[in-house]
Amino acid sequence: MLKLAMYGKGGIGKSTMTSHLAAAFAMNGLRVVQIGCDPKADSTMTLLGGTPVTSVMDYMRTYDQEPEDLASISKRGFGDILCIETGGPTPGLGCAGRGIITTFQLLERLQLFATIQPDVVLFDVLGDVVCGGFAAPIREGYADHVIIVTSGEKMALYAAGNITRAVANFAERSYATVLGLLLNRRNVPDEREKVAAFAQEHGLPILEEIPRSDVILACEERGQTVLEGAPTSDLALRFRTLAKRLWEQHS
Amino acid sequence: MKETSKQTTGKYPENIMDAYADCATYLPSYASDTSGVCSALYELGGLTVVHDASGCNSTYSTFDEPRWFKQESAIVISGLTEMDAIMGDDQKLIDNCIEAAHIYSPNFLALCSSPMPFVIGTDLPAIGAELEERLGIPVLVIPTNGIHSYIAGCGLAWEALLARFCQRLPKSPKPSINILGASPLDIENNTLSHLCAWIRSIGFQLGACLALHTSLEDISSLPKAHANLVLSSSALPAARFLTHLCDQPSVLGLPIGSFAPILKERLWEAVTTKQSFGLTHTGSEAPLVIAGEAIFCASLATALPLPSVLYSPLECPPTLLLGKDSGGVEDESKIQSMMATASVLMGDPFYQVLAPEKRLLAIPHRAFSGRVFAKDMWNILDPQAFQTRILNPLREEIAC
Repeated sequence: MLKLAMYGKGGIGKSTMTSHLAAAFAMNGLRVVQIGCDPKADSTMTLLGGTPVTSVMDYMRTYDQEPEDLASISKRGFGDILCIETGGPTPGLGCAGRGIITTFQLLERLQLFATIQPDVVLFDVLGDVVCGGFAAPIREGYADHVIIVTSGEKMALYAAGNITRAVANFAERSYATVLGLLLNRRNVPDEREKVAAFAQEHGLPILEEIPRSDVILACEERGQTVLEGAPTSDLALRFRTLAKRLWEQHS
Repeated sequence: MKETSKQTTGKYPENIMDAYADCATYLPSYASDTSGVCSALYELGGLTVVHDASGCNSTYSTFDEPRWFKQESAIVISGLTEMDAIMGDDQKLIDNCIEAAHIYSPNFLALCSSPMPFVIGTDLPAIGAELEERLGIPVLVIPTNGIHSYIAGCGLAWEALLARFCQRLPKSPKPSINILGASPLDIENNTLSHLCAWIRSIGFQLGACLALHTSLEDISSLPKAHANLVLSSSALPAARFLTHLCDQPSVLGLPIGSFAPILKERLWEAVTTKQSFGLTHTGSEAPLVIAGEAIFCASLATALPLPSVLYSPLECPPTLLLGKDSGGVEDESKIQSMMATASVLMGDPFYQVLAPEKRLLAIPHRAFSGRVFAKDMWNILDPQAFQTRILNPLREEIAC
């Protein structure tokens, strides 16, 4: 099983990249689970035709009890990908990080991995590793590898540096390790050079470069990834190639 | 707080008790899961670390632990502060655990959690793994959170202990019985002595006791026995573990009054056939209400001449209390409605407050009232005491 956690600065395109990777793994014939770990619960929208799944926290808020089965808090999307969202408390209240931990414990009790037997699990995590809850996806038993999504923008690279350091802090704890960078281009000047310099400084490879494209936005408008909306495009091919390489080298 | 009735004034519900459903307005809470962990491991030569703010140790040592001033045990609180929690200063906990381990030289270290580390998601398994590597002794990580009862805490602690220190062993030459679930939170010393004598009197050798008057070596010998006698719901995870490990059957119950011969028969059958025997009670509209730990209540109910209805707010198996009984839910309004049609209540004296006009036959329970009624604790397995304190008053009630 290949278990990947996607981190990166807020707004950098983590959910977009994660959903595209999930779709690419699925098109390559693998059983995929994507778990959105963001209180906004919008990670899997483009895999579900824009119709969201009931998040775990929404379920608990509505019924005031834990769900008894996976079906209550999951939904099959494009490529039969099982989509789950942790969701979170009402903005400004409660503790979103605790929501992630509670969700993970619930998924363990519901025996997600044993029941679904996925080949690939993708955790799409909000922003930086801001607290213990947002480090939960990289703890032992969850993701084995971290992919950091970044552009060449200064603040995106700053966040990537923070995430790299945060993961390094847990080196003695059998946590996930950083696999590399996924460059989601914003077309800032000298973008490739800036990211390459960052990658070299931190000893990380650039796993793939995703060009800025209106095709992604057009597909998102329809609640799709380009793997679904434009499956023969260059972009779709890039994601499928990356997914194939990740599976071959790290599963 | 759940408001379950129609409000008449816009401020207060019509029936005030409806407003307090699911709330404890009169009764104290039972001992917490962290107290359960400390109590469960007290005599085994380990170092128990409760990761919590300082203060919880006072509740434990003052109210929940009668051995505190008589028998040494290495139990410490991490003294978690607000800033430790904000900063996630795990290193401070690790360093303090190492320092304490060097002072006490324990057989093992047990690390359990409380509400604050639970909410901030402290990764105790990872901290435990690091401590084990650095100290070179077994580290048990016990996932308490401070918001469950001692039943859960003892259960988790004993399960973790057995998983670490028990392995399949050849059985004893003579039929032998372990006692599971003995902690001062549920059972007092005279009762345990009586129980040990009873086991011998019905033809068995006494195996190990989990975990009073015992040692880590005794605990390791649990798999040698032929069956387990389970006194409290707190020992059910340990019983399941032993069944899984070495096909060791368990019998649930306390040999109270006329239930003793039934238990004797079940123990012999368990030893002979390896069959386990659970315990079930089906409550009805009855003149007796028994409140407390579920296995104790069901054992007592079986030994009485009148039907009863049982109330246990503590964690218990869903198959144990059926019918009108109430198990696993803390709800004062529930027991009050049970008591409304009953004439006699049995349980800890604290329950009297819910029905001052009813007759209460007192059976103090340390996990509930701490040391408040310690001097009034009595041995319910003693036939004479049982006759005097329970059966005779019941006869008087029946005669009335």
